[in-house]
Amino acid sequence: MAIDHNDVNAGAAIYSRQVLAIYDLSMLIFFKFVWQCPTIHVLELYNDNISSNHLDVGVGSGYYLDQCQFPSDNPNILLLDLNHNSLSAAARRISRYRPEMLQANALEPILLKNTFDSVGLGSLLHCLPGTIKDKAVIFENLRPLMNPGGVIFGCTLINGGVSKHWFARQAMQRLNAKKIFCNLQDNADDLQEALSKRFFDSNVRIIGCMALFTARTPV
Amino acid sequence: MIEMDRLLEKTAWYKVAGVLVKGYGVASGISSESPYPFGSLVMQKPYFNERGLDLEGFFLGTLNIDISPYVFEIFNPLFKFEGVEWYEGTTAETFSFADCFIEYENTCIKGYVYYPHPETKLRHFQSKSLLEIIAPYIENVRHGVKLSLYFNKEQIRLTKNHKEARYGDRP
Repeated sequence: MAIDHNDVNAGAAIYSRQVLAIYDLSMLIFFKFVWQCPTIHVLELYNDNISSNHLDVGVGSGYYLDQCQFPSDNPNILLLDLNHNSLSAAARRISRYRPEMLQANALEPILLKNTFDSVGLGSLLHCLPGTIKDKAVIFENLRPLMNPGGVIFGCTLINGGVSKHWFARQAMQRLNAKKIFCNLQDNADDLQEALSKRFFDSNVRIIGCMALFTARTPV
Repeated sequence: MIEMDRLLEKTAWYKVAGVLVKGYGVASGISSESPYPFGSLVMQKPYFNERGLDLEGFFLGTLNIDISPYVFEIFNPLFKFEGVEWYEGTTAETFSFADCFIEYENTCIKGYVYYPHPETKLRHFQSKSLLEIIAPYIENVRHGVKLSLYFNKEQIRLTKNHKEARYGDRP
């Protein structure tokens, strides 16, 4: 395959090998000082919800999977991402768990037979195209992969209804202009509605510009 | 190590070995002889999108995979778009798509079999054992590499055929 001329992979293509190397550091800085949500909050979200049978969607560099505490030493983990660099980086990082990798678009039906007790969506939704209502198709696609009583959780940067300092506003505008983010229309109410339409026990909590969410399938 | 048997319902999917071969470079626009400088798929994508197939996030070129001695038939496509007038001055084409997975370098990759119907296609007749697949961008994939492919039995039929036929052949 040759270089992609299109912008279709723009959100995923940002995760080149070079970028992944500095991704963690910039994430720590950006989360704390720009988005006003230190990564410890997201890590706590992972620690509180992750299971030993976990699907992670939009894996980034694998930072949270590497840092979080799984309930067992030998979890079953499937990594799902559109971008091979991102998948490889995350899989290398947590190679002690022997994760499996699926390169696919989570906005399309995923067609797997195995199901999971937890599904993580760390910092993915704000990269997907459209509004929260459009992005909610990902919940439709992931729900069949969840066991009864399973939890879906994650975080996403939102633009509407949160206070942002000057630098955060500039960063969000620029990242949207570059099509790395697509979240100018995203807000917590739409996210809450998208979750509560499809799951039980949904919760959205705002820290800085970040919405941290959890929801469950019926037991 | 990816365990595809664990990920996919074994009874619902064919597994077949294939080899990645060089294509004509028309879909991707890589070929200097391609009449479509950015590739035919870039031009076709909006027509597919308005008919319900969103190729957002997929590489807009095809992987050409030789599955000989098998030949394939899409008997129940996931999508079938008839009369797509995607390029001015040519006849409308029909396209079918089917689900598939590719196993490559310990990764499972979700894609679609892309089948421009030969009876509506003007150029580039090719073997019935040669599949065109649309997938997310695959890092470091090279011609000649062996891949495992998984096809949905409810959409695609595979038969073993030692006498190679061509798409344009009449039965």
